[in-house]
Amino acid sequence: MTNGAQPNAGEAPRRVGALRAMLAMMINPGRVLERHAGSIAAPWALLVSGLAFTLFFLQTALDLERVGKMASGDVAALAGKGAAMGILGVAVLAFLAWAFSLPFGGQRTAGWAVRAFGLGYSPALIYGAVGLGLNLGLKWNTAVACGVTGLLWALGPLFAALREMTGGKNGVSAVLSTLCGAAMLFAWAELSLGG
Amino acid sequence: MAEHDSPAGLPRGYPLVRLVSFAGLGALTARHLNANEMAPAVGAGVGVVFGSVGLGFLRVLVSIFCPRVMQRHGYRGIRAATGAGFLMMFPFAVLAAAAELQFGWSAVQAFAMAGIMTSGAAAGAELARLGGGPMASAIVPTFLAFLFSAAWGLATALAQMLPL
Repeated sequence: MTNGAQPNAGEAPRRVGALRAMLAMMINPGRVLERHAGSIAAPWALLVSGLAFTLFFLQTALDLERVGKMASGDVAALAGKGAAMGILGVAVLAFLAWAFSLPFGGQRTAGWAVRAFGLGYSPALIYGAVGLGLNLGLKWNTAVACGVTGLLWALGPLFAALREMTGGKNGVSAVLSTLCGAAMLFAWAELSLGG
Repeated sequence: MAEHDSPAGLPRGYPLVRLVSFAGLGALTARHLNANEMAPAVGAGVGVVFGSVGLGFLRVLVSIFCPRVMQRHGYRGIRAATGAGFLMMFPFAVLAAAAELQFGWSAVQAFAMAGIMTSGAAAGAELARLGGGPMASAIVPTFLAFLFSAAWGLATALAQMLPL
């Protein structure tokens, strides 16, 4: 977490290291989003999810290449699909989730939802970086072990964001985060494994 | 945020959703351990018992190590916070079922363990909302959930050694 003090209403946003903020996103995502999702620019937030999915798809491509199911020339193309999914896919997903959350009385804007969803993939970025290191260094197949695990860890921040967007309704947030998580998992499987 | 929320009563559906989630994860685990057609039903039962006992331990330990919430809201507050947090098991159970039944993966443990850890973190956020203090609320339930998830993984590993 960013600090151990009680937050105050008038407290200025504190500068925190990027890695620290990403780790905090795994432990207390609601608070990180509360503090930072309103202040960070959407392109920066989507850069987080874009990088996370690029690394995830790159690991998938390397795994497939290692077992002879993908040509070396296609590795970069699949990583590019990951970047597109992490940026455009996450933005569209956030917008749809925001639209579905409207009837439940949330006060957040579509822009906040996009920023929160982008930042929400911070845990996936950490897992993606660690997984790529293991993939390249030890030649392990890491797409499922690290990539999918990172995607799962992102469900916590997504739930926290959706909770904000639905005005604190846990049940609706759980259902919407299930749908969002399933959409990304199935999209990854469709784009990389061919369904 | 000088004022803190009061614990809303836990909606009746939450415990049921949690039990179904634990049951689903238990059933999916048992499918791998034994080809017997009764295995998923037994696994579902074991999953419910193991999940409920694990959550019970977690609640007792949270009530000891997060005294602020206990003093302000009593055990009811602890139950409400952890109950809301463990609603997060639902997405993981659904995605585990999709991965298992749609993709044919054998990764139920990864989903179960990540689900328990994420639920612990979500419970911590609820405890913070009830005035538990940011550090205690963030670290205590997350660490306890880590132990819970490790116990789940260990129990599955031990079950694999049984001559079923």
